[in-house]
Amino acid sequence: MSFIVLIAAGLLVPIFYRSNIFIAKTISFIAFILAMYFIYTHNSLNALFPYFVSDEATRLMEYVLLITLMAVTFSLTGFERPLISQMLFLAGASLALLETNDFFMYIVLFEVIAIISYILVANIRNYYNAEGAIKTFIAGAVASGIILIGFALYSFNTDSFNYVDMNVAGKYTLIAVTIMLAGIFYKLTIVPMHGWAADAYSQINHAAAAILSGVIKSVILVATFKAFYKFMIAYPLASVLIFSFFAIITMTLANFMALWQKRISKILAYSSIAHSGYALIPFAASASLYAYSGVLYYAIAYIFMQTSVFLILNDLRRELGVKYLDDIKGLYKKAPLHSLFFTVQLFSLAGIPLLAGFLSKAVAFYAGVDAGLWVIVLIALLNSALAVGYYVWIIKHIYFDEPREDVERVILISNGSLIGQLILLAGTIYFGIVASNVFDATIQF
Amino acid sequence: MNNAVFILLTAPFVGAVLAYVLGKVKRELAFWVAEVVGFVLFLASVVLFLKYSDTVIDIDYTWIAYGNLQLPFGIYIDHLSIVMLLVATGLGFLDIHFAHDYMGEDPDQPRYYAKVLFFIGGMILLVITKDLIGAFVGWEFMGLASYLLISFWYYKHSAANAGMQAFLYTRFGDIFILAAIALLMYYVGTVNLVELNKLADAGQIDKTIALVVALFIFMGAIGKSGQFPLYPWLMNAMEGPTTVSALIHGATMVNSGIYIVARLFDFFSYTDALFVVANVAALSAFIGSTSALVQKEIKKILAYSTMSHLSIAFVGLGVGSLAAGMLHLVNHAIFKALLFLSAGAVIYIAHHQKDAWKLGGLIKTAPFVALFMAMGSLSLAGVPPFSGFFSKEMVVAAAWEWGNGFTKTFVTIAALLSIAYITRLWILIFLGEPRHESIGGSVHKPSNLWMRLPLGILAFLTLFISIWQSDIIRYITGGEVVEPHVAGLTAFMLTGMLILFLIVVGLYVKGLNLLYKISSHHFVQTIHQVLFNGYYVEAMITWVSKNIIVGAIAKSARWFDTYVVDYIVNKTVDFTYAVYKIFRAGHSGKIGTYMGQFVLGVAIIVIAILIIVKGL
Repeated sequence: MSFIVLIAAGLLVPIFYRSNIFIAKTISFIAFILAMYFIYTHNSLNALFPYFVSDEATRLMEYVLLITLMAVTFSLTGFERPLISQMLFLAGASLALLETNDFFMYIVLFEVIAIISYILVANIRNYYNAEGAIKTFIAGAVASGIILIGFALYSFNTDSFNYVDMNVAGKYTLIAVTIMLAGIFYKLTIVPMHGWAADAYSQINHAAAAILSGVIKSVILVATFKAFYKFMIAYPLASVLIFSFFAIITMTLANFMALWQKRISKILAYSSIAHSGYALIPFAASASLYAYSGVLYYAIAYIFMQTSVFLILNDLRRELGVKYLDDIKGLYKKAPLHSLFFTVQLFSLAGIPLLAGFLSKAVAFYAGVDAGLWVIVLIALLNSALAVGYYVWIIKHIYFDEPREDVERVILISNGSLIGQLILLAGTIYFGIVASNVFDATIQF
Repeated sequence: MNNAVFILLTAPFVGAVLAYVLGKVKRELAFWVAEVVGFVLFLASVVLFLKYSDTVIDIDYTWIAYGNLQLPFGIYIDHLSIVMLLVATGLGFLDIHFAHDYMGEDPDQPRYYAKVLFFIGGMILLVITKDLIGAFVGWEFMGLASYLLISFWYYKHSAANAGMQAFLYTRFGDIFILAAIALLMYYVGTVNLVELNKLADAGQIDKTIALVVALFIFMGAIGKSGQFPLYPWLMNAMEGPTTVSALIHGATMVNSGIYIVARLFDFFSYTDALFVVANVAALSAFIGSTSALVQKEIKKILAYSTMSHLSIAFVGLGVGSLAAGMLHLVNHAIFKALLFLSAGAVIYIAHHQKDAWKLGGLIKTAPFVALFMAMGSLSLAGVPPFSGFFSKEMVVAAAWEWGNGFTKTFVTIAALLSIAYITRLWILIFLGEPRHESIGGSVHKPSNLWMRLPLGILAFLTLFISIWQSDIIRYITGGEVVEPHVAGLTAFMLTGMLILFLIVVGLYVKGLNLLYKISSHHFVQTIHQVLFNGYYVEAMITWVSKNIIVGAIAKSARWFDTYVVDYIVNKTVDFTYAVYKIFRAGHSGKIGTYMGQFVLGVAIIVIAILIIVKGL
């Protein structure tokens, strides 16, 4: 039911684009709430098709996803309004991707989400948007091709695509899975499949970048872990090697690149890539019982903070034309509330305790230590220390530098943005203090 | 979760935010939010008192449980907690009510009420948690609130410094509590306060560890409750608004050290740490009561008397009588709140004149305040039938029966001296002629509803709560208590008090000239200086921290930091830039390059997997 509600609302909403955006937002709000209610009553896709199951961890991730998309919907204004119905479609597709227990469905839905993301970036207003959109699209096309090659190779080896019954012992399975993973790494922006993301995240509309880098990545993260779990258990050595290697090069490269950027959106783009690197640690530690909670926690924490920072940046660019670090000098005088939200979420990204970013890192790294990968965890810790450098650098510009010109007016946050940011902030703080929800949800896995 | 408990846990913090936000919209709203929240909190405590006096509320909750890390965060409300809750929320409400006039002219009221509510929230958290971790969080919340409220008038240099001093002194004690938590986690495996008492009763904890933990916790209590040697902050804390002094530095927060010892009473008695508690407290009681004799500022006299009376309560615990200590804590909270608020009223009436020597003759302008303050003073002095008499008598008797010679002597002296300094204070404020021109002319009239009513309620309480003294003891300890009885002690105490009273009255009412003569003698002046400066403990601590910690240790650390650490840190800039330049080479911005890397990446993975795993 939740799926039907979301898709129906998605079809209904475009009618109101021209007349009244408030009605469109209200409809999508109701749709999100209804969807959450139906998920709560276990009446999601699993009630309609046999390929879907909804366990507690999935439901938790779905709530978080819907809440985040709701917050994004509230914040959209102006020419971003076409995104509202895409939010609803994306929510539907993501629910399906999270709930599926069929590998074939996983590949199909992965492509569906890829297509939705192409539409998201197609909201082109200038040369930069166009460049970002084309990069996303071409990279996506190449990745799709690679995934399909791997998938075709794998389909020779198995009779069933069910997560439980899949054949993981076939002759070409390992090669096929590796090729598929390489394709999927494109969406997770793992080095060296990250080149498009570093440019595209900073070039496309920041609201779309928020969804692309925050929401979609988290969903793919959780779904991929579930889909590939059997392979990772079957080939422990290969999975440790692949994931550790890519985790290390991803975070190291991204952190060093972020350190010297001048464009804020570019810093955030590289920070997003670095976080993908941290998130691969629990993948590498799949032998540990805590791996799933590590992935889930990382996805949940990451979805709130990454979405929030890009949305704030979107507001700042619209209101003040903020692009470079120099533009946010003394920002707290011009836009106090934006500065506050931005700072808290950046602290969370940096991993300051009592915010979600800290606990998610702690849990993910704990899984790594539990699996005996303490060298990788050590490198990750050094990397997080390095990363604090550029997060705090932004905050230093906001609070400790004098603005370049006199402050003429104070930018107030719009009501929609305020509600959206408050929701995301509540998520960041809640999951920074109360950890038991995630742990309880992943106990049965 | 129980509704009342839920309200107690959340309402203060929600109220603090509301008071601040609404107060920014309209200033009066801040007070009303605080007043309503304060009343609701008191009601919730009363509900708990009425409904849960037979059973104990015991909620287990685990904050974080991951791997072998467990951070519990339970709720445990028994009679001890309920008594503390009633004291904290009841006095908190009256204090907020009193602040309506006292803080009425302050432009920063939203900030004030938000901080006070935050403080009450911390106090509630401390007294209802089951685990040392939750208690520590509440403890630190209070420390933060105390710091913020002492330096409430942050633009005043002295206030800002006093706040910082309070923060540093109490933080020094808190480090030990944190260490105690770590030791308990590592060696005992639990930080559950109830569990710890049970383990101690069963004798299942290693005695050495338990002693160290108990002493560490007591170290935190020393910092928080202003015991020797960490008391100077309490005197300087009087720079804050008087309502803050009444609530935080007179009636509630300073009790938290006693509370934590009382909560872990079985644990403490198991370890013999109570011996240390009793002796340190007796010494503090002596220091506090003698220094209070010579202070000039009204609030400093009260601060030293607070220190002395907290120590008396500690002595009660230390000699093994939980009942005596807790009873004195409750009684002291009430009469000390009364005294501080009366002092606040006096200061309000006298246009913020705090020097007792510059007041005088106020009984004509404020007879009711004089009456209420006299009642508080009599209670503090320990004159029957006021409540202070019963609890103080019990502590002294307990000390005589179970304490050693040192404890016995010093606590008796401290108990006797309280009548001397409080009588002196009362005489200086209310009798004689006005000694300063500022109060000669017009004075503020205290209003009935906002000032006299809370004072009246407290005065009423301090008199009539004596009826229920034995009920309170039974309620706290949950059974009959062996009351210490020393023959002739009451007569001895009363005689001693009467003599001291007559001496003070004689000197300050009739014989001011004689007093001047005596005090001009060199020897007396030296003693006066020592007492006035609180035995120079503050100077000693300052000397040690300035010369040894800052001068020697910090300076060498700074050298290392400047020439070794900073050098390395500065070099990292060059290093990261070099790495960045290498990495940047791969980011041309051309999609063709990216796709080339992409495909190359796929090829590398596949080949690597083939070689390493399949051994191809």
